[in-house]
Amino acid sequence: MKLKIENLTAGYDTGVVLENLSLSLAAGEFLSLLGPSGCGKSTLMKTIAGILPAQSGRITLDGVDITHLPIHKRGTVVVFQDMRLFPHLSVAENVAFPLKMQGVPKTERLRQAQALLEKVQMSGYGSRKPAALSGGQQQRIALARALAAQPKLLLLDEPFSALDENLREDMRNLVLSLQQEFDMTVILVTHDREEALSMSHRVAMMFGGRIVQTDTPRQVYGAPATRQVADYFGGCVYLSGQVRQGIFSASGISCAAQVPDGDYDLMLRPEALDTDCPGNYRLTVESVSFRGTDTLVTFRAQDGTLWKKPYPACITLQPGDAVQAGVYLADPVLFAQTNSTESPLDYSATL
Amino acid sequence: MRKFRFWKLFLAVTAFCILLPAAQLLLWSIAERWPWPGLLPESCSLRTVKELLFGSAKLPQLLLSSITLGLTVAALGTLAGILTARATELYDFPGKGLVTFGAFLPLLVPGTVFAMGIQITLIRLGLSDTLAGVVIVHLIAAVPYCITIMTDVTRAVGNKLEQQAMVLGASPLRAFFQGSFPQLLPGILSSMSMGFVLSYSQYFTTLMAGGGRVKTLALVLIPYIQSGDRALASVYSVTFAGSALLVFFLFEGLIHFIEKRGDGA
Amino acid sequence: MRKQRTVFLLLLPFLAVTALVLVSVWNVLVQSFGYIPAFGLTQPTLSYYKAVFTNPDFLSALRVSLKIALWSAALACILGVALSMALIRLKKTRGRAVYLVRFPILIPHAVVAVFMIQLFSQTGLLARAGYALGLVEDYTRFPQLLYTPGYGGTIAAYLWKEIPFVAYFVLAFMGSISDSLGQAAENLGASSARSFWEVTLPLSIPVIARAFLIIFIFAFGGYELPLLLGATMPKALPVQAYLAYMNPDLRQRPLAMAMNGVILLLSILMSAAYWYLVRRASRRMEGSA
Repeated sequence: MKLKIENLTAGYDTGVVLENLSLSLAAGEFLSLLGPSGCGKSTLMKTIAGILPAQSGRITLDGVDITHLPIHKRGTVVVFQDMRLFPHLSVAENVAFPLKMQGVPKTERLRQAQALLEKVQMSGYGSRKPAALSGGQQQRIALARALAAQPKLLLLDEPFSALDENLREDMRNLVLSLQQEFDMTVILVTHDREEALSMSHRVAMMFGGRIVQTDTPRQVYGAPATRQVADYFGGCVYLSGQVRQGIFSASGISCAAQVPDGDYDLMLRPEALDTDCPGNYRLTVESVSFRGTDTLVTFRAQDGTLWKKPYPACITLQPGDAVQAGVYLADPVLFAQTNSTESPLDYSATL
Repeated sequence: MRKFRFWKLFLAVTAFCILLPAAQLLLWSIAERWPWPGLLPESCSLRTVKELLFGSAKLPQLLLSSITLGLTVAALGTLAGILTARATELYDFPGKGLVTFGAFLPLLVPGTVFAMGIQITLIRLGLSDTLAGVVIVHLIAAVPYCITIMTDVTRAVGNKLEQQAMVLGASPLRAFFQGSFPQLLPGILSSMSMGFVLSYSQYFTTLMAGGGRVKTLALVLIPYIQSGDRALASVYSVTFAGSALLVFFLFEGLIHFIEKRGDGA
Repeated sequence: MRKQRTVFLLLLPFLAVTALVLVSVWNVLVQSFGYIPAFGLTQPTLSYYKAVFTNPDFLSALRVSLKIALWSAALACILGVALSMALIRLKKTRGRAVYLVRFPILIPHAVVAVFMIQLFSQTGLLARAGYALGLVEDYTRFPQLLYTPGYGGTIAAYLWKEIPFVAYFVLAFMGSISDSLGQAAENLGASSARSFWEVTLPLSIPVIARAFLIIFIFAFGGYELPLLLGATMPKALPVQAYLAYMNPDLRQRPLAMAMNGVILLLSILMSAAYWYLVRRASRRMEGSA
């Protein structure tokens, strides 16, 4: 294991944020810490980097206990959301800064900085000051500077959230290609589900200071461990029903389920609803709203469930239309019904 | 951690150096006999304090007039600060940079030079040797700080709530008092506290503009120091510093109270 | 039009204050050139400046005041920045420790003079402590620390007040730099000391320079501390100027104003140097090449 976090407890004077948290990363792995704001993902990142002290637990990196090492001796380099380029230093001096701290002679470190600037496609900008660059360019410099420190572990703290949508895509690709080229171990802190799913080998889902699930992107999306995880990706529909002798059944639907008998909710995503292939799940179109690249159709099922499903813009459905749809039930996700009435938080609102 | 030990030691030494003279002053003010080479007074009593505070009734009167003067300067300086900050933060006009520079200007002219230079003008205006003249020269010392504080606060508060109030039908003045004023209040109080402290400790400007006719604690204390009367100088000093601290902490307490209430606690 | 009127009205108190300062400066300059019609002096001349610059008393007063101002401002800035860093490193940027630092700012200068006398005079606490430790046999043998031509007591008094002032003045700015860019530097491999020297300190220079300027001008033009704690000869420049100003011989008035003119000139030179420094620093951060 490259990084190993065991039973970590950390937080601020105002209270503990992380309690008994464990996580490990293999060398060369790209892991995303995904969760809503306030879930503790930034606290975890700061604790790994030593910016916040760990209250208890152990962090080892390359087999070395770094739990109580000072920030500058850890080898865990952060690319901060606000980039934190040094305004009094030129771009090249910024990139060369970590090398200067390592005692690399001036000409050598400027040469290396130049090479790194080429890697992030900023070779002509070495003599400028950070203030003369755009946000995307500053982000590239911040990345180059972090690489110059030769981190054992690279921590990216929501690095793309301050960028425009089209710049973000470029930066993601750049980060991925550099990660592969340098075979780097990376933790990406983000609240952007698409970013986490598309970039990482594994995603760690964080809620309320805990890691609820760590799995491949496909698994966390397709087989969420809890309702919270399921809801975080948005658009979930729950059909309540019962499992009797390995068969789950709800109104108009049944499928195999390897769980003990009892009351369950079946989690379904809009992709599971197939209106082109008639089945015995009956719905009525409630509203159709055109959104540009697609059209969002809202259905009300006979059992009262509300479905929202995007269609190509040219869909012919009209409000009031009755539809008989099939439901795709390959790997059903069932959650036992609890007595509590708490409703799952709706994270789709933050989309 | 070893690194922190250095900083802790440094802070402890600083605290000692700050508090030691203050503690010693308190002792001197109640010492009846403190001959060489004792480290502590031989006997203590509150006699001097009592005599000064309740005897001739001179000190309480002096205290009252000094505080009144300080608060007047604080209020006027803060008003100037609020108005100037509103002009520079909420409006665009040519020469804005000059205002920023001008706000700093009184700090660039030493108080002694200013006081000697302005005296002839005060005489011409009939303000020499008057309380109004003293208020004016104290204001020069206070206004730069008041403007700085109020500019920071006004920048942070903006005029969004005020505009909202006006959209909802409030008159501009009402909109200010209903919208921005409550949010500016902590800043206003710290500006006042700063203005008060600055006015309260003025000596030379008071001497020049007041011509000895406007008496403040600073004016009375300095001759005692010059004459080497330690006991009297100590009691006056304790009263002087103590009252300054008292007013300051009253302002601080008010600020805390308002901010807590603002948090909806 | 209405907007312009509003701005004008809002700026009225500020303009009044500025006008007073400018009028005062004007008075000082005009009188220093020997133009005081009320005293029958109507011929502008540089002779008063010449007179002060050939007067050895003035020259030593100038030297004394420069010394007080430079030592006070420089030491206050160095130690004040250190104090501020102590608060930042120990994470005491709010609460009791900050009140401790604000305390001396609230104490009037005259009271600080009393502090210094009670500490450093020949029968002061330091001498008594020396006696208790067997280092001083008698107070007459204790070295005279106050009222010396070196003005050590005056500088000490300024330092007592201004070190905490600098710490408080730079605390918020240095704290935010240290917590963002300083932290980034440490994260990139700088020790906390190097992160201070390479990042936090260079970026805080404009604020520190501002504190230096304020203290320098204040101490250079300060009256009561050199009066109460300094030597009879040489006097500090403002004390000397006031003496001339109050002289019953009215022809001394332009001499007093010439001294004030010199104080003013040096203050303006210091401010200009400050502005040049800050402008250069901010240009360097914007610069493209």
